[in-house]
Amino acid sequence: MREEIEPALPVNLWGVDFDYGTVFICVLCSLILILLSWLVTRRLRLVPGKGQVVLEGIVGAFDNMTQQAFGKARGRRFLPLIGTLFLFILLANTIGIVPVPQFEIGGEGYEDLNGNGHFDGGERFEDDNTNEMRDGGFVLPAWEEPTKNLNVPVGLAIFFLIVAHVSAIRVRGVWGYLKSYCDPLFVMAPLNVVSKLAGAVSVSFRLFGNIFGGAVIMVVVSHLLASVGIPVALAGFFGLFVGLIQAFVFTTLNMTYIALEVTETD
Amino acid sequence: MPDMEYVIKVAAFLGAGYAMGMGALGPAFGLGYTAGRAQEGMSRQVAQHGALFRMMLVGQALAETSGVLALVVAFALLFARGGGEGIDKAAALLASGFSIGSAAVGVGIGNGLSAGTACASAARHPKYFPGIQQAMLVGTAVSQSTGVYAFVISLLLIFYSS
Amino acid sequence: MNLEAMQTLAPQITKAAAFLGAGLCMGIGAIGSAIGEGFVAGKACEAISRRPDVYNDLFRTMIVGQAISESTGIYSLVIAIILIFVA
Repeated sequence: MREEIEPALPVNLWGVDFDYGTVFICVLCSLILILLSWLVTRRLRLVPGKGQVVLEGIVGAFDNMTQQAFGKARGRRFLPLIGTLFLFILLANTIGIVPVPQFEIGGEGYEDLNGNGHFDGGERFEDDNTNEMRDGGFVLPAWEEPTKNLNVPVGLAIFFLIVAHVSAIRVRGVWGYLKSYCDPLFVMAPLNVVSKLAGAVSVSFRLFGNIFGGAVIMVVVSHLLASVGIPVALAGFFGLFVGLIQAFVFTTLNMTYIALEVTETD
Repeated sequence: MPDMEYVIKVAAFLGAGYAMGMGALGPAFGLGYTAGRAQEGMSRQVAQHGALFRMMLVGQALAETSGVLALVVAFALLFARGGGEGIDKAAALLASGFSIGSAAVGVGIGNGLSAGTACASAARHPKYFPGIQQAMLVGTAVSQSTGVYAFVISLLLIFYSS
Repeated sequence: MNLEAMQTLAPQITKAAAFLGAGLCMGIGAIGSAIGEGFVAGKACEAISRRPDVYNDLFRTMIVGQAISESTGIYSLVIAIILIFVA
């Protein structure tokens, strides 16, 4: 069961280890969002069709939220960032609803000695071009949520932390930004620093823990129960419901943190 | 003296369990209290819904800090224990977990009380929003200070090496 | 209890401590989230009964408040999972 909880398909590019499945599905999510947006906005009509209604609803809701948080002009400027964050995390959280194991297209045949579905180092393979290494085909990674990997939520949180602080410097200038750490009382500066860092940590661990914990619970329940219905219902709950809520909470919290940095206190 | 490395691990695991267990207790209650009082305020002043929602989020972000500190200590106990062997190191790790875990209970509840009451009062006098928010920030930060002390003590204990 | 006998049992004792820690962690950590989220739900019902016309806003606030209140419970879950499977 441990292999199902800790998947590892490490790929080393330019000296940094990446997880192939996570990166693949993240890029896939981005491509799906681009394709969906292009398809819906191709023929915008005054009396909207179904897809347009849904996207207009989401855009309108986030327009309201950002305008309430930032004020009219800045709200519009931040709207694309916030809206895209929400859509991306929503898609990333819910994409794992139908789990599909890892699949390889092409490549040289091999004997799966320990039956784990992919080629490990020591198994015998047909060396068609006799270069003494097994040339793999195109690997479709296991179809699971990329936010299950800790790096994705932490990366998003770091990105938005940078956005918040750079926006604060742009609005207040460097000296004003540094002074804002002493805001209520001078001695509170270290507490302010800790609280901002803790905000970023908490927001990323909340998203990671919910999605990863949901995946682990589903693996454990599937091992324990012999039925099909209950894991499917659980998958619906964890994937759709929790995924939607966590995407919304992540987006709203990051938006609030940026707004706190950017709006001048009076 | 036989190799006592497993005693260190035992102490680290028990410490991490206590740290995150008790460290989740306080802040969770505090965050829920804040949200509840904010809802009460929203029902009184429907027009200030957005501003109250934002004040609730700010207060909750502050109140969660002690939970995050407990998480950091738990991770440090699990993965970055530092050198040293023997019973004294084991006791230090266990005590580190006790310190932040117990502290986070009180800090979480206290910060939750502060933020929640701030939201409810802000609904009663919407004109005084900035003042109430500032009082909430200062009061929460001050009441969090013992939690930060406990965090510092926890880190000192983790990086103790005989 | 002689130390050599405990020495040979070292991996099992480590595992035992990991499980105890995981149980402690998730068990106590669930208390706070439960109380907090229940308080939010109760106050939400009260608020909705006071102003049923703003049901949507109040419901959304309840969901967000409960999700945030759950987060420390989720941290406990992560630590407990790490203790069980990794440590």
